[in-house]
Amino acid sequence: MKSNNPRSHYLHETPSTIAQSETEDEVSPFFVDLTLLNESNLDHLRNVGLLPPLPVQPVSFIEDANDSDGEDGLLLSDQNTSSMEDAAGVISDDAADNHGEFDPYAIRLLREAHTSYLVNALSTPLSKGFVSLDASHPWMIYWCLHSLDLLSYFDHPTSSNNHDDVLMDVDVMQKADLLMRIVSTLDSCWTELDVDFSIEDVMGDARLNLLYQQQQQQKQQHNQQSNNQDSNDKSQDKSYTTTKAGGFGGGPSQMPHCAPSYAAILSLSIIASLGSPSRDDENNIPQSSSHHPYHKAGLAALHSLSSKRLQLYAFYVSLRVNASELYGVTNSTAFRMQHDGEVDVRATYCLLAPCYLLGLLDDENDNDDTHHHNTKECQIKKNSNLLKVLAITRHIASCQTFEGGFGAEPQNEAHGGYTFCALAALRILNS
Amino acid sequence: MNAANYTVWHYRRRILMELGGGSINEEAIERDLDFADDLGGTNPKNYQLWYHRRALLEIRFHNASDDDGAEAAQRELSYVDRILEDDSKNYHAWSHRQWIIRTLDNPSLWKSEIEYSHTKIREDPRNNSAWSQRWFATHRGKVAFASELADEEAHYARCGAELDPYNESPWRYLIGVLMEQWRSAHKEGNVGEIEKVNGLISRNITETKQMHQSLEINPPSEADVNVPCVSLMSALVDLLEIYGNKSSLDEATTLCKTLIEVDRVRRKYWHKREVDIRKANENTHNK
Repeated sequence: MKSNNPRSHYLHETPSTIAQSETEDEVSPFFVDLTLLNESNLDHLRNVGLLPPLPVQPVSFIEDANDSDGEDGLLLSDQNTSSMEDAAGVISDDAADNHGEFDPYAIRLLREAHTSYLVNALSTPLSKGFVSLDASHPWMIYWCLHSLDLLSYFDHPTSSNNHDDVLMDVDVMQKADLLMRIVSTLDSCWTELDVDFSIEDVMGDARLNLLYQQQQQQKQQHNQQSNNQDSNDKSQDKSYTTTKAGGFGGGPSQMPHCAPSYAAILSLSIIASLGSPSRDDENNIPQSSSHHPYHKAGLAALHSLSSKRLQLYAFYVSLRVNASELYGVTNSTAFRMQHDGEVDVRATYCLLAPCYLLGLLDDENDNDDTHHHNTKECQIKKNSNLLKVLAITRHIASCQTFEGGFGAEPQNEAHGGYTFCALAALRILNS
Repeated sequence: MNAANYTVWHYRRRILMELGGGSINEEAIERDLDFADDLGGTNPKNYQLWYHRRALLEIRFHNASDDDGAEAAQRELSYVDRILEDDSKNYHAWSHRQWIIRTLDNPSLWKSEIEYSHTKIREDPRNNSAWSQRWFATHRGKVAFASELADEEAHYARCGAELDPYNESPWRYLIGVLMEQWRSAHKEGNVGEIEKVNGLISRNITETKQMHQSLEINPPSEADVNVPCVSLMSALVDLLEIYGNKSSLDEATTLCKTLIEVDRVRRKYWHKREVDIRKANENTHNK
């Protein structure tokens, strides 16, 4: 397989150009001009599934004595329409882009292979080398779950009343079971954390206030039940108050951290939406959503998120760092990835995305948390949110470098990953 | 077993603090830096290890006198240098160097970091991290260069580009220097400053075009014939756009059209640049 790939050009050899050349040599065999391949090579790729199967050619019509209406001899002559099922039952839309013409070079995703790889990762015990990812359980889940979702693995579940295909029922049940197990695994990665806030902060922020009220009520109920004297009057003397915040860690008993929290919240969001019937409008699921096979898992995910929402907010607020002190940029706010952990723009993104999903960023028009009528503090004005859009924006902006991209911290080199985090965070704040 | 177990690292620091009665003494700091070093060999890109070093050093730098602090910084900078010998572009390593120098804010450290960046650039002019570090060190964490310094830095960048115009890094550095001058001149609105900056940009346009011509007319070797120098042309587009008069913008538009053809991977980007430049041209010059 001869390839004619352009190589990076240089006039002066350096360690970088050497490394680049070596890499280009190594990958060169895999960069192939498909149109230059011979038929046997192409057949091989078709057998592997990377290229679409050839449409069956029309046969010339031969008269058959038994074929009275003349139909039998004409086979699949017109399969150049947009939907072609191959032997594996995969509906291919290869031709869709080509306006109905077959493109023999339209490379396909090996959906089945990828799907079984991912399902395996979620169900087979991992080998011991994976201990290095022991602080990343929610990530492993998110990478696999999100990929499966994108591969349509969870699409088109039939209702459990479909008796026509028992195997399909078992398949759907297994998927629903997988989703339930994911929810309970993620819940086991949840850890609570005592955080001190100033009375001023708690009174000024509607959500912290609400959380504080809720936790006070719980304490009082607990004290009444066990006949204890209410001992938290002592907190009235202090200028701060202790709140039970919380977040997801990399595994059970691990401390809360922005990265696994991000992965867990996004995973739970996927499951919550899988369990809501509006998503599956192609199958005529009956009105009552409880018939939906993923309803139970979806509900569990939703419950998990809503019961943790305010504690997550408190956790995120507690991660704020005064970036003016750290980097000299006035009135700017950065975030740590964890308590006693590194500060970088990943943290900003990793907490803003869940905040957006959980409705924890203030919208000018609507803020459900300030409408809670249990608190007389619902008179607190909106925009008393401790996550200040402007200060956060200033910090992100200060991470942009002369190259135009963004670094992890101000002055750090522009880097693709951090640029993503910075831009995505700005986009979220802007909405 | 799992150097990424961030909970255990935090737990370790808490124990050290408890044992030290609220802080961590020098001996323990030294010992734990060695411990992190042992683990760091196989984990040069582990966030927790680098943060552990930072957490320990924060205490050391906080408690140290100016001289001791500078000495301690040198030792740590040597450690980072070792890591960079292995992988000259390790992001954590460069970022750690910035933290040390920024935290101590010692004039001799800033100066020696310019030297260090220069050494790394000479070792490999395509090490973008080294160029980025030069920007950091010469700016000393403050805003724009004074114009004399800008002249020097622009010259430095042009030398890098002359060595190999196909190297993106010196061009981006050059554009960065000039854009910064342009922005600060226009922010102040001082006519003298603006004229100075226009002169600076104009000179750089001339030099860049000369480099372009000599590449095309006198390619260094057979292999270099007809290989378009995208980095140079891209920088030229930026320069012409900043300069902003009608003929420059016309030229820039033409260059973008060429780039659409020779830099196919970024053809949509070059198309957008062309559109933006044409619009700017119409707005400013067709009134």
